[in-house]
Amino acid sequence: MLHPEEIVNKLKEYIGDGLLEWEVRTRFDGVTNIREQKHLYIKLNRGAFHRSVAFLYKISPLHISCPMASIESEEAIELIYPFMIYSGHGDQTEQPLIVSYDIPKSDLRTVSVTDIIPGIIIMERETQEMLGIEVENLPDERRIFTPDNMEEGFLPLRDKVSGISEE
Amino acid sequence: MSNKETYKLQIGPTHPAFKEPVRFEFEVDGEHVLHADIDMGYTHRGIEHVSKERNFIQIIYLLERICGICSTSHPMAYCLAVENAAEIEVPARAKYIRTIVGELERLHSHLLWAGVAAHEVGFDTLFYTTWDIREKVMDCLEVISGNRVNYAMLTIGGVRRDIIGEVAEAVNKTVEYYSDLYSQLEDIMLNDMSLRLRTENVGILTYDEALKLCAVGPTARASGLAKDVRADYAVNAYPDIPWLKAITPNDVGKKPVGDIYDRIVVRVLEIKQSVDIIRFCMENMPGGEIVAEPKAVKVINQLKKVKAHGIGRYEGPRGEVSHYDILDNNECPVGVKVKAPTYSNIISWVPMFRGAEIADIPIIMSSIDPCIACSDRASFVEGEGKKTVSFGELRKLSMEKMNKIRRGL
Amino acid sequence: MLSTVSRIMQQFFGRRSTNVFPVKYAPESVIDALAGGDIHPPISMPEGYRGKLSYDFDKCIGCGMCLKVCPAKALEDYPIMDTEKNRPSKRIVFYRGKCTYCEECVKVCPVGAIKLNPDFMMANYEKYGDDQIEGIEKRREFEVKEGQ
Ligand code: SF4
Ligand code: SF4
Repeated sequence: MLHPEEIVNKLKEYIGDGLLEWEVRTRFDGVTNIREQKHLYIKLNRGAFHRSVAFLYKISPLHISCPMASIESEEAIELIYPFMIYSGHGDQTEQPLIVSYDIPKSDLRTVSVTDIIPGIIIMERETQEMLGIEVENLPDERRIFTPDNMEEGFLPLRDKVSGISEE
Repeated sequence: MSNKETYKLQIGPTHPAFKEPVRFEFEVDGEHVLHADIDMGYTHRGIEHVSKERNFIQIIYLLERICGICSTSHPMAYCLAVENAAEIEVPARAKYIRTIVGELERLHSHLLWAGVAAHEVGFDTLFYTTWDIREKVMDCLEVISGNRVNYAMLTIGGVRRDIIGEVAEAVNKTVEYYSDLYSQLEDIMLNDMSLRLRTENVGILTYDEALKLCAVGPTARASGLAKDVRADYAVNAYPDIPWLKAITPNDVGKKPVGDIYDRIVVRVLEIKQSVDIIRFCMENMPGGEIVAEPKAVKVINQLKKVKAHGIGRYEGPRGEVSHYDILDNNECPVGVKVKAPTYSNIISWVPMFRGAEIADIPIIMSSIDPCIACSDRASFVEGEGKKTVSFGELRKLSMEKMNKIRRGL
Repeated sequence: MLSTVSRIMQQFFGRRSTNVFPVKYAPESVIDALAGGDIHPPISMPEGYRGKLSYDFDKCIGCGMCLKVCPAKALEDYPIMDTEKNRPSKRIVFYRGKCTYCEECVKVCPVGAIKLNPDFMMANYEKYGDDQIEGIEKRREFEVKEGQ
């Protein structure tokens, strides 16, 4: 099992400049047997995302824990993928690996990773319909949670954009 | 397979065999299912959006209502996420109480599931039995929390009620009751011939598929994938329990196949595991405070000063519940992302249905213990006349209506 | 297999696990039979049961803390004139149909003006009838309407 720093070093070797920032945060839990859990936060370049996920998946299969969270700013949307690595090894050794990258608002596109992690498909479909980020190479482009007859351009989870005015 | 034409069979959104609205479109050849397509989104409530307008304490009760059955799991994951972001230390006793309530919830959820599954295969004796037995744990939860569902036990930084005196006695009695009953329950659920015939080699999800599709909870464990947040990730008092590990069919000396029978095995063994965990916690519970900061208003003020991300994960009865919260110096979080276990397992239905018979559809559907309402939590409501109404608009409409209804003011 | 058979027998000949509810709608003859003994006594509510909400108008000091924590926005404030202290203050009404019985307002209230009682029979046809609004009589009596 690799230490978070080792994972970062390997990834850096592989994608170079694609890795923008990284941080390790530690969390403790337990009462008599206090366990330490290292959370690795990685910020990537959008272009390096697909390659990085493929690389990380080779270290150990990734589990996607939660649908992608997003932070909206003036020019960009930051998309956050909470992955887990070393799931199912028991003994409190799972490591959260939170990957994020910025998508400029002028070009709301990203690429699907369903070819690596097929289980992520529903989350990508949700991202596409809720945030209006076009996910390329998605095997199934239909809406999943929102009604099919919903107006175009209505993006429920975006802060400022909405096809329908509030009045 | 012959080269006859295939048919499309549509089941749902509402159907007597399903407990919640979800729509399937099956491509069938005679009695055999060739392919299944799933359509969701019939119980949207926009909870993630609404969360952005509630303060941190109010959200706990909102999230509790994502699902009635896992009504501790969602607040638990949320509280863990906020505590993770704000680095709040939870008192030791609160960790144990959280564990006990969580395990009691698992106990009742697994019994409920056993009843539903038994009903789906037409074995109503078992349905009556499990639901009858389940009343005891519901009563116990009522004594602890003051209600049968929606326990409202958790708060940020601890729990709201202590388990002492008569309440502790009630918990111990419940533990005894289930330990005594367990062997009989195991016998009925694992050895009954008719149940085995209906469930063995039906709805198979292989290990590789479970891994690739990110399945969670008993669904994954039945396929031999030993994923269990309690064992993998340090939460609550679980790290203290030395013998805790993810249960797979290997524990009864059976090679995991990933069929429905294996899912029954995992859940039955987990009933025993839950009882043992509760007993362990009752015996080893430390004393002390039960909450880091009892004043709700102070907690809100404290969280107003935090700018961080937090992740909270917890093993609910159906699998991993995961929340990702973003705090940004505000009374309300700027983002709450919720994942219910069924969300991860929906996509596992597709391989399970492949090659199944039409008569097995209801039991395969309920074998993952689905909770559609949990998965459908994040969109908007359709108003009258098939028009999508924005949230603000909807609220305005309902307020107007309410004002009209109020009389004599 | 034996366990299954014994369970079936139990279900056939044993006492029923549930009561007919509500008893008052059952035919007379049934009520008599039930009163004859084969009925489960109503489960007594445990201490700390979170049921019907009650509010003490006189104790309340109008601090508004409960408004801040209520997740369901089930309560609403209205202005009154506090005659004792001779200054404007506010009091609360509770819409029971909206309340989630979370007990948050009870815990936060500094003077203990709010209580959750063991009473759970609250079903009603009228969502906003007087029955379903706690404190409505006092509001009619004491509310200071605009322009007064
Ligand atoms: S019990 Fe909870 S929902 Fe009901 S009024 Fe009090 S705070 Fe609001
Ligand atoms: S918290 Fe108590 S005293 Fe304050 S307004 Fe509410 S009921 Fe009145």
